[in-house]
Amino acid sequence: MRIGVFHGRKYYLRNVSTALTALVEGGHELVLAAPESKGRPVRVPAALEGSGRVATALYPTGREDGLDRSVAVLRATRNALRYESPALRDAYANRRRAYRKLLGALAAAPGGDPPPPVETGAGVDAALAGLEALVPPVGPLVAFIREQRLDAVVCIGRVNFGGDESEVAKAARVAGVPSGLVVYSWDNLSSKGLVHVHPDRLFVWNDFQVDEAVELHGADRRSVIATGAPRFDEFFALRPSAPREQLLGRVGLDPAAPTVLYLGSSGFVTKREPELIERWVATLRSSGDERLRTANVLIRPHPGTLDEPAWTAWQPGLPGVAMPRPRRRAQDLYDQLAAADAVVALNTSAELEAAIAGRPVLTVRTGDLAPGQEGSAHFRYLLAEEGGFVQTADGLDEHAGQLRKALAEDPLAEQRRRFVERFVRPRGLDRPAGPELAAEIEALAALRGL
Amino acid sequence: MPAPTRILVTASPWSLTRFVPTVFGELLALGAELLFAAEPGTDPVPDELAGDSRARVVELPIVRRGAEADAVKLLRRLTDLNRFLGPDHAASSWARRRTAVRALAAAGHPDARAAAAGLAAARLPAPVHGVLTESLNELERSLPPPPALAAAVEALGADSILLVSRCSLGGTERDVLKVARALGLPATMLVWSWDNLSSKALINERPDHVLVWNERQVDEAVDLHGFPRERVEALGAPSFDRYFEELARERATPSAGDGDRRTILYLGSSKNVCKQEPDVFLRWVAAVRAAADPLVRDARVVVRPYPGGGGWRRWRPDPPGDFTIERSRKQQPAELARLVLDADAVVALNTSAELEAALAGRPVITFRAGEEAPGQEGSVHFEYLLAQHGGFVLDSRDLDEHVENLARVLRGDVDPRPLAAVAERFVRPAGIDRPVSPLVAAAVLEHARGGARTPATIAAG
Repeated sequence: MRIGVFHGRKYYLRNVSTALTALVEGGHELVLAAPESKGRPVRVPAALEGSGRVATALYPTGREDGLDRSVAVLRATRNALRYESPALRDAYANRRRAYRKLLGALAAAPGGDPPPPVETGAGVDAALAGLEALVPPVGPLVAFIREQRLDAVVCIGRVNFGGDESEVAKAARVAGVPSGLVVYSWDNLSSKGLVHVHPDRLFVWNDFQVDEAVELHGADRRSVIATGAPRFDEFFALRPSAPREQLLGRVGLDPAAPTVLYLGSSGFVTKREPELIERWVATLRSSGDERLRTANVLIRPHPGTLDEPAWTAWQPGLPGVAMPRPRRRAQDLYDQLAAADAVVALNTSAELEAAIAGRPVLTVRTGDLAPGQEGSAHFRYLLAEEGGFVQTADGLDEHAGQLRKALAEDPLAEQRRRFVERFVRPRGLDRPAGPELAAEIEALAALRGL
Repeated sequence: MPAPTRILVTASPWSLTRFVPTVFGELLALGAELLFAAEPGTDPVPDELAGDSRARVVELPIVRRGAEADAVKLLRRLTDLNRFLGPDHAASSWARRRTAVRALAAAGHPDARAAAAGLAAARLPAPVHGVLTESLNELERSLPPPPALAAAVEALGADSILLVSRCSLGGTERDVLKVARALGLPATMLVWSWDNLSSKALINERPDHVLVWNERQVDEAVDLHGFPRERVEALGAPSFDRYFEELARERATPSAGDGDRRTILYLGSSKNVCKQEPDVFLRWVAAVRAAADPLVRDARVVVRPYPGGGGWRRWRPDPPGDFTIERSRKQQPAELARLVLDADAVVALNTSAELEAALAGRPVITFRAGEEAPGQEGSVHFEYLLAQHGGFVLDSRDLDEHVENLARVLRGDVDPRPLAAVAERFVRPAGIDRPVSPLVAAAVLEHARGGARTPATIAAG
């Protein structure tokens, strides 16, 4: 079968590379299609390079009917109003961002707080969805899908504000090709835009996201399939590249001391993370517990924040604290986790890698200092009190107590293991998700002509 | 002998055609054949044309139905609301409220009426309003005409379309104009009344020609709807032709009179202006009866409830007041002419009948009823008729000033002739002695024979 893999950014493919490999090995042809608006050629992931079954193409995104602005305004409106629903109203950081996007679409002056919450009722989005149905597909995109003679269209997407997922699904439907959306990550369905146009299949990680797809996006439950997260297939297979002594010794830390890894969050979560880290380290150093006072602190900034002013202007400069420049390679993260005895973070996906690596994970609620923490709907998903594995504290003193205990006995180890299975490999911890997703994509392509 | 020009006549609302029989009589006289579009169960042919084989009803699926109908309704209601949120309509508080309720209801809001107050209080900055206007117009433009309607109209073999329009909120104008554009039929839009272009829906599909009453409406058509000025003609108000005839007839009949006692006629307004106008009227009567001037205090008061529902419909004052109630139906020009001719002064909040009164040479006076009448000061067209804005209605800030004005009028201190001249220019800009219907019929026929100008859609604010 010939399957179009639409992806707005090249790194989207990385998260599904094991699924793509499985498809190619299964004898299918892939057309890796990126938007021509990006103006760059499509890059084939290393795992697929040299395969005769992989082609690349640029897909058209420009409308010819002059509806660009209407579509932008309509979707930005729906994206903002979804945060008026009871389920998402408390996600104030997500809500603020959605309204900021709406102001942008309306050419309004930026800034200011979003409006007070309004009671819209469930019918409003249904009505606006009716307007979406009036919008015809992007004509050149329909032609592109037909010309490519595809058996299925699969879009890898984050459901970003202004993403292409909806246009691809709409065009595929008109072209008579079954379509699927592979949701890139665990927060995408709760913290970003709406799936404005539902594809034939929505591929998600787990049952949490199945519920989100149904309850927050109005998807038909039968069309939502939990395959697990292929992005972790590689990570599950990793082993430390060196013994702990070497891993810590090369960054100047004492291998004999307990080690706490601090995982930085994205700039959306907080712009003041170094300031928070200083307070956190000061709490450890002033602790009555010697293990905390003398523990190694390994800081791993979020790779996306390295150029942000708060980070470029900051160096820890504290004894027993190291901050090597992070590399995006999974092995780099894996080695740091392997060297750590516990992990602390505000709100980041790397907490999942920490759980897969079997490390206890803790967080501290930081209020307005990190609006993207409690102000993001997905923050609570990982919390132990919600059935997850991350221990939460309301303040640094409480946190220090939890950390001391975690270093000593890791009380949530079994709960964490079960959560990892449910969240990233719901079909079994020993079953990589990539082949599972590949099989579901094959089934999608088989819908053609039915 | 050439085939008659076949004109498809549509109206929004459908009943409007019944009230301009003079236009259609003229069209038939000029050799046109008229097909009156009707939804099943309606009869838009004026009684005066009944039995004339050249004027017949054709049933058409004018109202959108089907899966997309609700979405189209929402789109258009949002367009209407957006219109009144813009800077050009800052004073249109009533229309803003009305369109907010309608838009929220179409959007499925659980309590549209309550929520509308907040929405109607909003004002959009010009750039935002511009983006929204453009977006909504783009969406409207992308809508194809209803296929069933287009097919049915095509099958009629019409040469052109005449659309009699009130620019109604939720009207069928846009779809009819889409069909005309798709089929290449020249379309002429006859605007029904003086307030239609400023207080109701935005017509964001473009007819080939627009016929309006006067120069003010030409400006509105251009400035508020974006019609090209060269396609808008001020020919006058054909709906007043019968009134002028009846007025002349009634003038020949002497008034019954009531000795030296003066008569004040109170003309009720629509529910859109004031939902419970009887309450306002009773306050007004109390002010009149408390007037210092006996000409006012002792005047005979006649009230004509608005003939279209609202608070007047079931109003039965108990006990009966010191006034006479003269109920009438809509479009009864003879009755109205008699009433205004029998009056020495006419009072109203905001209604078209003020024009009939002024055309009869009667001074017209209003007073500001405030929040009880949101559609009075909250409607842009209210200002149009006021003397201080070049109109003919004497305005009063409150009832005290109003009673003083009434006294001046009843004493004969106000010369109504220049005021009447204003009203005459308003409805007959080509001359008070020139009936408008022949002018409209000639224009419609000329445009029908001239072909379509392949119009494009517009983006107006």
